Amino acid sequence: MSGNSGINRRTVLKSGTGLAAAGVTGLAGCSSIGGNGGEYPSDDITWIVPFGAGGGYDAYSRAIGQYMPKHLPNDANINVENNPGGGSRTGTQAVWRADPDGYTLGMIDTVGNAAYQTVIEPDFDDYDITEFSYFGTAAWEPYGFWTAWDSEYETVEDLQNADQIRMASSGLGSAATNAGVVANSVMDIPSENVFGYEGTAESMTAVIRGDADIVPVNSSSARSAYEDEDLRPIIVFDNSPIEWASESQAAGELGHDGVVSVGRFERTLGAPQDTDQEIIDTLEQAWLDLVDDEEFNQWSEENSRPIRPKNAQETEETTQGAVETFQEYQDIFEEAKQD
Amino acid sequence: MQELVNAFLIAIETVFSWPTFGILVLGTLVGLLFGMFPGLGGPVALALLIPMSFGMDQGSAMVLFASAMGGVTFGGSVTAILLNTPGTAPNAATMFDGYPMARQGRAGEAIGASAASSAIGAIIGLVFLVALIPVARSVILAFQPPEFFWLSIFGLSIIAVVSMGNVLKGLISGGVGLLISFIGWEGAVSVSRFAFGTNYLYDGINIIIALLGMFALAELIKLSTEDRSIADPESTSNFADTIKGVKLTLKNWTVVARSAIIGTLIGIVPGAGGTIATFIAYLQGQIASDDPDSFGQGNIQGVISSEAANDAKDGGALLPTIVFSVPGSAVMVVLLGAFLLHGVTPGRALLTDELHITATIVVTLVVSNLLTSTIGVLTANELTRLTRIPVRLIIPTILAVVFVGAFVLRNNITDVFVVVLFGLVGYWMTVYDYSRVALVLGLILGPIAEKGFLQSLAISDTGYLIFVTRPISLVLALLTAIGLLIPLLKNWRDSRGGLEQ
Repeated sequence: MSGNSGINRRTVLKSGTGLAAAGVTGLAGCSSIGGNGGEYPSDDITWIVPFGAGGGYDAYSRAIGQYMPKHLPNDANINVENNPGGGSRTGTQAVWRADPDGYTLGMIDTVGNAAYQTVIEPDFDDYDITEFSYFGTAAWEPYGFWTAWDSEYETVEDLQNADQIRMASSGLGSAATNAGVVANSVMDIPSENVFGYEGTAESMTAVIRGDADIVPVNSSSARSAYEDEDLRPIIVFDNSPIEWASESQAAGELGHDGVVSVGRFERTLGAPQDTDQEIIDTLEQAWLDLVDDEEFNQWSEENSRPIRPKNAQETEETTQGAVETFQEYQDIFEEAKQD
Repeated sequence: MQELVNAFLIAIETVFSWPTFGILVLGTLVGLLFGMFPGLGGPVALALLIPMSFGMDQGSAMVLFASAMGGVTFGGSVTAILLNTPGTAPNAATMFDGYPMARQGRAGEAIGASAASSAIGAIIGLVFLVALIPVARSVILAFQPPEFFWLSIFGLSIIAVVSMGNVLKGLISGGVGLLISFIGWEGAVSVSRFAFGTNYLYDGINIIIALLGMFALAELIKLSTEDRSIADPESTSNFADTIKGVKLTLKNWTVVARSAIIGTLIGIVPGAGGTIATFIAYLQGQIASDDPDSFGQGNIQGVISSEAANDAKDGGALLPTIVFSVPGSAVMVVLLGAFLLHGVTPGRALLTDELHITATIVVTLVVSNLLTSTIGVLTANELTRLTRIPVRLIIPTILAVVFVGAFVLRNNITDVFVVVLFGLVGYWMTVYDYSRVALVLGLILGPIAEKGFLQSLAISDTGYLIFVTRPISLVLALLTAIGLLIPLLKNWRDSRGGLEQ
């Protein structure tokens, strides 16, 4: 550079001072981290949502963030942060790596992760989904097979007798796909997978426009399509038919308990492993109190977000159960991976 | 027809009442600000507005969100023109000619053109959209994987036109873009590629990060070697320049109209995304122009076509979002969440009984676009001062903005390192004259092309024939062929001309 370039000692000193000043100001702006030795929670809590803004996990988390603080001993704030990526694994890992002091919590997709670490990527070791400190579940929902309103298929038998049934969904690693793959195999449906759609909405649209015959989707996501007479359910992966679509068959009634166990997603509430049991108990109690909270229930009604609560132990059992069931289905996924 | 008119009358009544209009202005300003900062943009603006909307009635909430969306697109074009930094990914096409214009001291003209084409594009897009509403569902459902495939191949053929000077280098750049696009999880085959087991690469390389690096950061590096300001410090600009930009836009109204229609149409195709809309509009502007070679060096038609499409696309992208819950663009993903929060359920009703909600959003989009364009025209002169500040003051500030933007995108510090990497790559490309546009095209269109290809075969009963037996596919295939022939024809014409001399 020529001697007249702008970078000389004076400039460096000036910018260095400027940087230092900015740095000090910035640091001064940070609030103290961690508690100040008082009763839990004595500071704000960070709540991580491993999904993008606007989705179901986000919606429930924000409602919890808004209405749960008053049920905690010290009324601390809950700050919800989105941390999407890696199919929810980025955010889940962020919770796993946080200090187990109760100040980082998150909403975790247990069934999806159970599938991933058990059958889709057995070498996965970023975390163990069964080792999180769960304090409850906000909601859960079964998936089911839905088909176009005017399609020729009405019952599972119709599907079983067809030459070929195309199933549209995102791909292995998505809870809906996992559910569909298991169901097809267990119920002997001659299926061919059409993967790559970005989420359930696109998969449903694919079936409506004729790309495929069936789509695995949870009931409430399909409801609007049902009311528009675009899609109707064939079978739901639950023990009883859908309330508002009673023509649907139920996997449990047909004897497919494994399908019921993994054909679902769960919105669980968790903390890093080895979080102090007292803190977990406090959180569990706050959650159970929130379940009866009037404002929370009003939110739930107005937004069609049903609350189907579980306590800490039930959550752990469901998670463990999902892992074990997926282990039984290892062959199914090996086959699917090779297609 | 009557319902359509009624719905829009209700919408106009809603929008122009108080305090709803105040909310519109507020949302627009928020959108404008967020649009200007790379890494922020529509999705973040909306996500932040969602809590603010708690307690608002449905109509006001819709106005708030739609006005922010309207503000973002113009905001992004300002930074694209002045700083070679696209505020949002679709603004990238504005940068191709907008920034060269700024370097020539014509930033005011560019902003004026952007403002005018944004406003007019939004209006034309709206008219076209309204005409499509009765057939919206059929249009959306008519696009299946084979059409997505050809749409992206058509987009890729732009590489050939864009790199007419040096086709080989253009192909190399495009090829590298394609290769990079394959990193990550591919749902269609359920395989993670080149991710080396990391969570970061699972989602592939993010397009905003690549753009920030290759264009913004690379430009900063380049500027630091030149030691002057973006535009010649002796250059002057005044209000007249801005008006000149507006007048030129009006003169080129056919470009505006075509771009707006393209923007709306591509916006409607779910999964195509807003960025493709502006790139394809840019391409058609170049093809149809009298002086295609000047594109990329400061031809105002480049700015006009890109921005007209950019504003029209949001109207189009609204349709698949409200009818099928399939977000037509990144910002629609968050908008969907906002809808659900306020009890707006996507579905047929939004095109029939509840059409007034849709109409409210569309009217708000147009009004906020007009508002931002006006603000743009009035403040353009002040904004252009940025281009005359010496670089040693500008570089550190923009650097900070770029890095913060990169981090804020996904709360991920690795993104910042990747921006630096792409910055170096981008700078290297400018030094050796490789087309960054071609790389970006490969990066964006690669996944769509591959997915379209794989899904088409999965759903086909006739094997590969599915690619040529569908009417829309055939049209797109023909357009692609024409697009590829143009540089060949041009070379042939040039060589003949050379012989005759």
